[in-house]
Amino acid sequence: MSSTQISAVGRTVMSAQPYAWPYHGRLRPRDCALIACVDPMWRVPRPESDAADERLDRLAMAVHSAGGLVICLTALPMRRPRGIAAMSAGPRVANPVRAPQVPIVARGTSGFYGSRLEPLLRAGGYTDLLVAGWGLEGPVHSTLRAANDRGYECLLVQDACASLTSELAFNACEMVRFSGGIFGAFADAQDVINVLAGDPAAQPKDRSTP
Amino acid sequence: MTDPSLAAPVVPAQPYDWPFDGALDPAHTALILIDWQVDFCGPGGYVDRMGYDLNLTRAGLEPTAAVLAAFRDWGGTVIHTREGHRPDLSDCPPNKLWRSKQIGAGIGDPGPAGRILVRGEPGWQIVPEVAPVAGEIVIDKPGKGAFYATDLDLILQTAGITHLIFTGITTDVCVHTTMREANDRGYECLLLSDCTGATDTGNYDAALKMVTMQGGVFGAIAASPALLGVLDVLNGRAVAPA
Repeated sequence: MSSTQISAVGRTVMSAQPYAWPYHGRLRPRDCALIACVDPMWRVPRPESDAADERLDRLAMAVHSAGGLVICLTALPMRRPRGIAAMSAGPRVANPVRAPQVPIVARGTSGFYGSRLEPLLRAGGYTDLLVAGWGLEGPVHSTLRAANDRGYECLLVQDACASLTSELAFNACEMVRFSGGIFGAFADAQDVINVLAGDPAAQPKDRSTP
Repeated sequence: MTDPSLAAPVVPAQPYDWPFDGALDPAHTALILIDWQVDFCGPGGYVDRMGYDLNLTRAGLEPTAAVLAAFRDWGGTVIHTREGHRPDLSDCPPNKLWRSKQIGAGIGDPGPAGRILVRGEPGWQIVPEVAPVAGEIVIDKPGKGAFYATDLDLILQTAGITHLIFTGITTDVCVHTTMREANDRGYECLLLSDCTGATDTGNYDAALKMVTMQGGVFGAIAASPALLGVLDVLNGRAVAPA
């Protein structure tokens, strides 16, 4: 069965769990924004991370090419209790996203806290969010949760995320899947890219950035 | 040289003894009880309608009641939260409503505990074991996080509260979301591991691990006896260990 569905009515990522995303069945790339979490503090040097970076880059290019917005999210240094271990991230690595992008700096693990993310999304009419990047258990999940509370329709692109451990990555998706998709849905990057690439009419909106 | 016997007591916790600054003080500490509502741990409520095991979400009720009693004696601020929507559902995002209906527990639909997740209904009430008493703060929230679209942060800031102790349900959803929000805002957070529960044990375990990862990126965790031991000392019922 195809993992994507393209019709006159609309498009969805059919392979998404626990439901074909987005719920409204009318995915329009120009309503989509990718929030790529690229704070180096969360980029742990695991073998899986390199592959995730490559998928994130391709996903960002697909979003941009289809007319969506690419946002690259970082954070100011966190307040951390004295005396506890520093974050165990490896050497600083470059932002893997090469597509044209809007940088956003937040004041916490959630991209919505202390940042211009929400006014940017509201002003641009972006309602459907793809969330991925470094720190699946950290900034990716915090941003996903905050977006969901605000009514955005969210898709966690799970294999474009770098995680601390495979076990935590599994449960980070399970937490999304439970209760019928309590924070949205999750899917693989290639399935999203296929859907985004399938709309010949997708054109960027003429928007001004606040 | 500082006399160690004069040091403020701290709660033995993971991955660090809590709080990090040793400043355990009732004037600056709040106990947050997240969503101990019939809809999440009572028969006929939202979680029950979704088919999950209520024993998992009720597991933390008894230890939470014990902590609540000791915390009230200590004089700290007690804050309860409730998730629910206006009767006309005007504050319920359409995707949240749609998802709930897909799983057979539609928000606003009638059920044995009244309309699901609607303010004022029997299912929305806090269960009697940990119900608020006069003077305690109750925060009504439309989402998972207790800081979004509420006055919680304003209340905490106004009261000068800097340290938060979390109990409630469910661990991986509303508790974790609120703890993440609190941590972003600079509050020093402790989650009581036996005073919380989830609809899935794997997600419960992972949620605890996500708190303690990276040296305690969202705060610390401890079982309630660790806190009760400290509160006993602070309440004059026990002597601090040498």
